[in-house]
Amino acid sequence: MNGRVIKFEGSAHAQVDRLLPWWVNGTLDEDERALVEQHLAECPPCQHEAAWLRGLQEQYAEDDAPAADVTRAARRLRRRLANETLHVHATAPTPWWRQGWRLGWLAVAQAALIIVLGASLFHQRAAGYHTLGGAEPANAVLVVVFDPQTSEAQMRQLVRDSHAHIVGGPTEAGAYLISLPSSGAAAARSQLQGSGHVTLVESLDGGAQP
Amino acid sequence: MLHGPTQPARPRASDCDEATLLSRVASEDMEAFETLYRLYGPRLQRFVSGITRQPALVEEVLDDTMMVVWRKAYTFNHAAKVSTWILAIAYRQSLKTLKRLGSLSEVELDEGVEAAAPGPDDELQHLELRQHLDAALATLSPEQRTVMELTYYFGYACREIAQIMGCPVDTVKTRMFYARRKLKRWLASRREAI
Repeated sequence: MNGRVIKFEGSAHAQVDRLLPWWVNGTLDEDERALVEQHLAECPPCQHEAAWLRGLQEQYAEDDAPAADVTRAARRLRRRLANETLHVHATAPTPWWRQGWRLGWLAVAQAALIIVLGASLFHQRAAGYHTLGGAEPANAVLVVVFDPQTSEAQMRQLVRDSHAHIVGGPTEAGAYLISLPSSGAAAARSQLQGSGHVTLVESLDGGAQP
Repeated sequence: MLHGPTQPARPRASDCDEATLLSRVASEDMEAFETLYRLYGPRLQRFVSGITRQPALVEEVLDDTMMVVWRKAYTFNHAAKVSTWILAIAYRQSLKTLKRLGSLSEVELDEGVEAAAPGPDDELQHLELRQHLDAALATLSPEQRTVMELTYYFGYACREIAQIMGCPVDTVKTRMFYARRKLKRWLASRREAI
């Protein structure tokens, strides 16, 4: 757009003129409204303009759109969503969380193995950097395996609710690594376990519990 | 005699209800999506129709808007009202479609010419508006029509309109200023032609 933006300062008349449309629709704040009404009381051109704008608003109110056939439209959208889902399934591998219980449990078993190996590697690497006066690490890392029935949106919500972000995964087994502030790790872990959408949650930084 | 301001009365569910509905949509709840559609369908239809002025496009833009709502519901962060968030999507989808079809023209600025000062009396002007508003609105740019629609039909404040259109408040005022001037000039030229 090549629109030149006008700075609306200057005379009270010009300022009020620019505010009139929103005086007419009743959305000005107190100060602006007082300014407009004070000027309107003594300015016939602005009174005419306000009357014209009010007529315009009345026309908009009368010119109501025909009621949309919402049921038909909702049906059309449902079809479109279904088609898109089918298309995604046809062109991409089925996400692990939609593959059913059997694969899910296989994923859990694999994840457990990865956790054991991962934890052992992590301890070996981390041990070399510990000092006597060293502070606790600022972030904790959890390994999480979501229930196969959990949707992607629910996963995102759970991660957000835990104040975490995904730093790894999904592994072939479908496990994710999430990082979050150490101070909130225990609470997040309980929350994830209690959510009903997580089949496994383990800490990678020494806080692991059976 | 001066009449005080009047707000257009539009039925609205509470922001809290709508935010709850949207969070269910984020969890891919189809029932919530349909409820949201029922709530917003008529409003969006009116809004999109007001921007595009092309009835054949309304259904397409409406569907595209709701598809974006479905896909992006999880990004809603409560910084704005749900209605502002959804209308902003509809506005962008409308411009996108008009642009794709080559119907999005640059805003014409009529600099240097003041609004037609002499005019007929109020009653005649109202009659003119009633008869010719549709044709007059067609002469405005989509951005100008959006500002008019959001102000006079939906009753939004200037700041909310700026949020929906993703522009500064002064830009909204500028668009409204030129829209009013253009409408008046169009009506005046029509009057002279008779």
